[in-house]
Amino acid sequence: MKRSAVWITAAVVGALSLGGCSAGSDSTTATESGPVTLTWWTWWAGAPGIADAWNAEHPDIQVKVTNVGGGTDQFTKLNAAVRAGEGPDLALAEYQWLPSYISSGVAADISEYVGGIEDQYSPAVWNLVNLGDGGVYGVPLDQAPMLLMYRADLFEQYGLSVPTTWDEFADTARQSKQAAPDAVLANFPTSDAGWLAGLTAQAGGDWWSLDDDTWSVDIDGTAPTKVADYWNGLVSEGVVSASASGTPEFNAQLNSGKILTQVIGSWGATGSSVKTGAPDTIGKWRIAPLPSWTDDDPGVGFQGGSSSLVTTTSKHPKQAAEFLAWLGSTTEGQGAMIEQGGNFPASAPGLDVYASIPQPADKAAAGQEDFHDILLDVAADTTDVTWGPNTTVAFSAYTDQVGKALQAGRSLADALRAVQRTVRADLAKSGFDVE
Amino acid sequence: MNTTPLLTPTSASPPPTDRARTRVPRHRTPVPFAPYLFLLPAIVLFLLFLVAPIGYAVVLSLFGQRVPAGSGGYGAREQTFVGIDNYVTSLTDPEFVASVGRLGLYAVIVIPCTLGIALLFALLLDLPSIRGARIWRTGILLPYAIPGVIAAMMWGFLYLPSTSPLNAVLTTVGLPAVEPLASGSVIAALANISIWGSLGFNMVIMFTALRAVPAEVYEAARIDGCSEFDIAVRIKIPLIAPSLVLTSLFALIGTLQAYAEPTALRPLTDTISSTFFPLMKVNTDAFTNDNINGAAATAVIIAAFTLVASAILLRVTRDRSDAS
Repeated sequence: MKRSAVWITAAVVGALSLGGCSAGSDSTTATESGPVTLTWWTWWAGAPGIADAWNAEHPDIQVKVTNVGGGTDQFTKLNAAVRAGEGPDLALAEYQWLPSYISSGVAADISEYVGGIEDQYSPAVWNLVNLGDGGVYGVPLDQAPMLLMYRADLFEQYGLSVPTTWDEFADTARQSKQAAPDAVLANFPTSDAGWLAGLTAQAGGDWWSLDDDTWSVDIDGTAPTKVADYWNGLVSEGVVSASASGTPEFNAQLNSGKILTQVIGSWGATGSSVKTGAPDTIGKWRIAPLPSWTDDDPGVGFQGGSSSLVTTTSKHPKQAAEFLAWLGSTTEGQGAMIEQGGNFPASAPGLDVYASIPQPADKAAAGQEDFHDILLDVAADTTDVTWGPNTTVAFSAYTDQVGKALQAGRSLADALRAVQRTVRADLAKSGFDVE
Repeated sequence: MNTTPLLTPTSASPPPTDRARTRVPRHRTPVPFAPYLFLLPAIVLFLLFLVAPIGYAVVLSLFGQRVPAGSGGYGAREQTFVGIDNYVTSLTDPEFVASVGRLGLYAVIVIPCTLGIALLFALLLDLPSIRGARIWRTGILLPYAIPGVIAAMMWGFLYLPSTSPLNAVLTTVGLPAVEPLASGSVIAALANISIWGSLGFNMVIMFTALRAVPAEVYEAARIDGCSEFDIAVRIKIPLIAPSLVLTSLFALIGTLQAYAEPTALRPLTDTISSTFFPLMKVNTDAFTNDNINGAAATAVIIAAFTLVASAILLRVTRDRSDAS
C-alpha cells in the first residue's frame, strides 16, 4: 500500500509538472492599442543598456532582453521555441546562420518594413541580409571585416616588419621561427570554418553560390584549395601552429607571446577576447590591413558579425523591425550599441560615431593612434559573401574533418573535399536544387 | 489466489482449500480489478515517460525536414514522411560507423579494467589481515562522488601540456612532455577518467556481496588448509557471481552511453570531434545540425543495440552460472 501511495503521489506530481510545462507564458500577446512589449534574444552583455536607451524614447514599444546563450546554444533554442510557437520577437543572428534560420522557418521577411535603410550600408554588408528575391531577413548591426593583429613589441624585438601580402606573411613566418624558435607567427584555428571561408572570400571564392534558384557548393574548388594549401604549407613547415582557438591551451600561448599575430575578424581587436584570454598582452597588439594575395587587391572577407532577425512567430513584426532599423541604421541606435558593447558598427552612421570615440584602455590595441583609420579603411574594402542554408552542417563537418585530417597527416584540401561531400549531400537531401 | 493476492505473495502452491473457503465469505465481495488498480500508477508512468517518448522518437525517425519543390534558394523546410531514409542514412554514415568503432575500443578498455580493478580492490579489502579498510574503502569510493563533468574538466587540465603538473616535472628533469589528449591516446585518456570515476561504485557492490557471504564458509576452507588466494579464486568469486553480472550490466550500459566526459573535454582539444561517440553524434545532429529526425533514427538504433547487448550478456552469464 505504501508503495502505491508513493507511486500515486509521483503520478500526480508528474502530471502537475507536465501541466506546468505546457502552460508557457506568451509575453507577446498585447492588444493593438496599448504599448507593445517585444522580447529580444541576444547574448550581448551590453544589450540591456541598449534596450534601456530605446525604451526611454519609445514608451509604446518596449524591448525586453533575454540572454539564452551565444552561437549554437541560441540557434538550437530559437529553432525549438519558434516551432513551438513560443519564440521571441527578435533574435540576434550571426550572418552565417541567417540562411539556416530562413530554412528552419525562424527568420521572417521584413523587407516591407525596412525599405529605407539599405542606403546606410555598404553593398557587401547589405548582401548578408538581403537574400533570395528581394527578401530582407535581418538588419545588420555590427560587422567583422578580417584584419591582421600583430604583437608590435615582439615584432620590434625579433626585427620583423608587418607583411602586406600573403607571400610576405609566409616569409615573415619563417624569419620569426629563426628569431624565436618556440614561437609561431600565427595559429591556424582548426575549429573555425568561418575563418577559412572569410579568407577564401578574399581569394575570390565562395563556399556557396546561388544562381537561378540552384545552389552550387564550391568548398573544395580552386580558390578554397589555394587558401587551404597555403596554410597547410605553413603548418607543415612548423612556422604556423594548428589548434582550436580560444582554448585554455591557446590562450596560455597567446598570453605568453608564443603567437605573434592573429588573422581575425575585427572583433579580435574591438571585442574582449584578448582581455579575457590573454590579459597580459593588452595594449601590445596593433592592427594592420589583412595581407592580400596580390599587391593591388585590398578586398577582405568577413569573419562573423551580427544581424538581428524578426521571428516568423512575432505578433508585432512592424514594431520589431522599427526597433532594429533604429539600432542598426541610425546614429542614436548604433551609438548606443557602441557605447554599451564597443561593437564595430555595420552602417555608415555607426561608423561615423565609431570614428569619434577614442579606443578604451582595455582593448587589445589600446594606444594605437591610427586604429580607427585602419579599421575604417578595412571596412570600406569588404567583399561579398554568400552563406548557404546549411552553414551549421558545414561548420560542424569542417571542425571534425580538419581536426581528423591534421592528426592523420592528411592535407587540409582533403578535409575540404570531405566537407564538400557532406554539405552537398545535405543540401540535396533537404530538397534544394543543387548543381 | 486472485481474491487474496496481497496475503500470499510468495506462496507457490494454492492455500489450503479449507482456509480459502472460510476466508472468502468473511471478506467483502471479490474485487478482481484491485491488482490492476494498484498497478495503474506504475503502468501510467511507464507508458507516459518510457513508452510514449520511445514511440515519439520512432515516429520522428520516420520523418524528415524537406524543402518543398520549387521554393527557391531560401525555402523553409517542412516535416515530410521519408520512411526508413533516416535509418539508411544513419547506418551508412561513415561518421556514425567510425563513432561506433571508437566506442567499441573504449568499451574494450573500460569494462574489463573497471571490473577487474574493482574486484581486485574488493578482494583485498575483504582480507582478514587488511588494516585501515574503512579509510581505503572511502578513498576508493570518493571519485564516484565527484560529478562526471567536473572530473572530466579536472583530468582535462591534468592532460593539457601547458597546464599539466606532470609535464612541469618531466620538462624540468629534461624528459619529453606527454600529451594524453593526442589522437593516439585520447581514447585511453577518456577511459582513464571513466575507470577512475566508476571504480569505487563497482568495488562497493562487490565488497557488499563479499560481506554477505557467511564466515563459516571461509573457516571451513581455512581448516581444510586453503590459502587466502585460493579462497578468493575458488570461493569468493563464484559466490559473488550475481553481483559481478550486475556490475557488468551496469558497466556495459554505462559505457554504451558514454557522453559526458568527452563532451566536457571537447573544448580543450580538437582530437575529440563532435561525433566522437554515437550519443555525441545524436546530440550534434539534433541540436547543431537541426536534424532532429536523423538524430531520432540514430538514437533508436543505439537503444536497440543496447537492449540486444544487455540481453546477450544476461543470457550468456545465466547459462554459465547454470552450468557451474
